[in-house]
This record gives sequence, C-alpha cells and structure tokens, in this order.
Amino acid sequence: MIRVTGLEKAFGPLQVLRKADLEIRPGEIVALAGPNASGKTTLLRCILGLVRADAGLIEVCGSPVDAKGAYRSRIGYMPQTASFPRNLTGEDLIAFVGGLRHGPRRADQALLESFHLLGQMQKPLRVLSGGTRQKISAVLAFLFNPDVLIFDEPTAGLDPVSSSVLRDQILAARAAGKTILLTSHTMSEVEEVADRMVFLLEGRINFNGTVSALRDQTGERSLERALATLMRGNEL
Amino acid sequence: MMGRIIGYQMRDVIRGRSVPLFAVVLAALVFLMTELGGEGPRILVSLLNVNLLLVPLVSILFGTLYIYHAWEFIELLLTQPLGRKRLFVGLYIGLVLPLCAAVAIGLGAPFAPAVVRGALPASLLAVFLGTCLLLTAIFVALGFLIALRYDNRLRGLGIALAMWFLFTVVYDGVALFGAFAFRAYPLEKPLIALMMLNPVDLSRVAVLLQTDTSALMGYTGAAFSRALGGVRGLSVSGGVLFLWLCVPFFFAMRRFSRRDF
Repeated sequence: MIRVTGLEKAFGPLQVLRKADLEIRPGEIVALAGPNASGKTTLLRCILGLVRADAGLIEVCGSPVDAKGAYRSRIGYMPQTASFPRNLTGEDLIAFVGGLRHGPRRADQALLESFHLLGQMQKPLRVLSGGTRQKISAVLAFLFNPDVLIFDEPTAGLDPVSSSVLRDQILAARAAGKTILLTSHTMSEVEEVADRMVFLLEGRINFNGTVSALRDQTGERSLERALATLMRGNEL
Repeated sequence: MMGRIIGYQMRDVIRGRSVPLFAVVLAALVFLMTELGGEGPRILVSLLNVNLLLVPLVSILFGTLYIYHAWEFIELLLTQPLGRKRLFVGLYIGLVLPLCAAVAIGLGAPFAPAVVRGALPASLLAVFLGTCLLLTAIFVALGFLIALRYDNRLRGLGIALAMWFLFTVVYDGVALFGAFAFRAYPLEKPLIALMMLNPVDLSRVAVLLQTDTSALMGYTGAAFSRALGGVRGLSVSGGVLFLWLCVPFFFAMRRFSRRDF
C-alpha cells in the first residue's frame, strides 16, 4: 500500500506539489496522468525517496519514507530510461542489484524468457539496444518480488511485443496483490491496465477516480479527449 | 554492501578502455623521458611537472564525467534499500582505486628497474607515487563535488577545467607575482602557508625536497626544507594533502546525501 498525505514540494520559487493526497491499495493499478510539469515525476520521486518533500507524509507498506531507505526493499522501480554501467553484463547487473537487496543473484529464467532476454544477459550492456536495456530494467523491477511496483513510462522504447509482455506482467502482479503506480502518455495502455486514474495539474490532484468515472464526468468516450477536456475545464 | 558497490564499480571502470589507456600513457611518458635523458632522480624531477599537470586534469575530469554519465544509474541505485552515504563512498572508492592503480602501475612499474639497480632511491619514488596517488584522490573528490553541485553538465565541466587551471597554473603565477611584489620582505613563512593552500604545489615541493634540487633553492629552499623536509616535514605534507582529500570528499558526500535527484 502507498499512502501520501498533504505532500508539498517546491523547487526554489516553483511550487511543484500542493497538498497532494493519494492512497493506492494492494491489488490496484493507479495511473498518474497530467500535462508536462504537472508534478507527476516529482510525486513518483518523493515516493522513491529521490526527492525530499517539504511537507506531508508518505508511507509505503506502513513504513514512512525516510532517509534510511529500508522501506525501499518493498519497491520495484522501472525508470523511463534504462541507463546502466556500460561495461557490465546483464548478469553482472542483476547480481549487483540482487546483492544490494539481499535478493536473488540470478534472474528467474522464466522472467528472462518472457522478455526474450535469454542469450542477451552475457553481453556488455553497451552493445545492447535501448529496448533490450529497457527490458532488463523491467526484469529488475519484477525480480525481487516487491510489494509495490512503480513504473515511469514503462513501455517507452519497447517494441509492441515487449510492451504487451510487460503489460501482462503488470496485470499478473496486480492479480498477485501488488500495489502498482505508473505514469504513461499512452492512453490505450492506461485504459487497458489502470483501475484508477489520478490527474495532476499544477501540483494538485485534480481528478482521482476510475476511467469510466472520468468519461462520465467529461462526457467524452476517448480517454485522451476526456483528459484534454479536464485540462481545458481548468483553464476556463 | 559497500564492498559490492566498490567491486562492481571497479569491474565497470577497469573493463572500460579509459583507465587502462591512462596507465599506458603514463608508462609511455616515463619510457620517453628515460630514452631522452637517462635515468634516476633527474628523470623523475622532469616527469614531476608533467605529472602534476596530467594527473589532476585526468582525475578531476574522470570524477566530474563519471557522475554526469552515471546519473540515471545512480538514481536507480538510490531506489535500492541502502543509505546514501554508503552508496557515495562505494562509488567514490570504486572509481578512485582503479585510477590509483593506473597511476601506480603507469608511473611505478617503469621506474622499478632503476630502483632495483640502485639508480633511483626507493624513498624518492615512494614520495613521488604517494603524492600522485593523493592528488588523484583529491581531484576525483573535487570532480564529484562539482558534478553534484552543478546540474548543467557544460557548466560543471567548465568549472572543473577552471579549477584545474587555477591549481596548476594561475595559483603559481599569483604566488610568483606576490613574491616579486613583496621581495623586500621575509616571505618564507607566507610562501609555505600559500603552498599548503594548493595541493599541487605542496606535492611538487614535497618531492623536490627529497632530491638535491632543493639545495639550489637558496635560503627559501632551506626554509622549505626546515618546514617540509625530513620525516617530520613529509608527515606534515602528507597530513595537509590528506586534509585536502577530506574536505572536498566531505562536502561532496554531504551534497550527495542532502540533494534531490
């Protein structure tokens, strides 16, 4: 479970998050949406402990987000860009991160096979394509069986087959009772996997409900148009 | 856990071409100087000035560029269950150790036969290598500090280069100008104090005082010799250089622990 209460963050004079409240329950997928600079990434980074909030409270599986970072053993994170040490192999990388998490030092073969990564893991990461590195990043997120999964634009840079595999893995994780938070600009993906949408605008949570509730509220059938209507409504 | 970070970091750095290439360049430089001018302390003193330019430059650039290049991976590591200070120390040592190994092999190995033949005092080589290793660690820490302070990579690289230029060229010019302008006054003590404020100058004097060259420095040389010569003086130089390592390292670690990523 992720619980965010009264979260505030400013970078200098720029107020990025304003009293954001959010709760994501186990077995739920929440998609974070909003225009550029709405505070999505900052919210994700606050939960991950990369950015320190000015005010408010974040709890992950009942543990407060603090500098010690022990709570992060419950989180699997897939960043938007998979950037790894160039001269390590995929196997090295998994052993490295596995060692830091006191988790497995070798990737689950079935997980690797599902992403068509068998045969790629012995190669230096510098020779792998961006998409392949992104798949390794997905494997790292799932590998340690975390209770909470956070994805930042997970399918950006992935081919359709790999995107589909990743979506299936995300749905399987939901079925296993994982708490999942993701950001995506691909609305079809959000429609397919998300139970709930949280729409951020200028650091405030402007909408928090199901996709169908958003459609009802805006009177639009397409999710993309519904979000655009929500944004325009706030501009007027 | 820190050992694991150091281990994998070293594996990545050593498998890259840059650090082994640095060792080869340093070794080639020693062989070239030996070919041109014989062997022994004279070559080492000639090499000193080249190394006091090259080692800080390569180290500060390695430190700065490493943080910038590894930024996204560092973010990923920060999402793992480990403290920021541990991660910082691991990343720093993982980079400094291979660089120090490159310096020690590149500069030490070619001189080893001269030490064995007795053409070069082992103590002189040890001081020379020791100062080069400390300079490597100091300038990598400065590089880390700059990269963590300035998010703009071009600006950060510019500041790193400016800092190297300040320590290796500008500082000497200013000190020389000051010594000339106030030549009527006894300047030995202020000059020794000025020396302490620049790790490159301090390293140079620490090595020179182990050779006969210091005898040519007249009264100033005698004053330096009193302050920085002998075992006590070497301990003072080593202590000040170690302090020079601790200060940027501490501020870089503090910045790493407190900043938003």
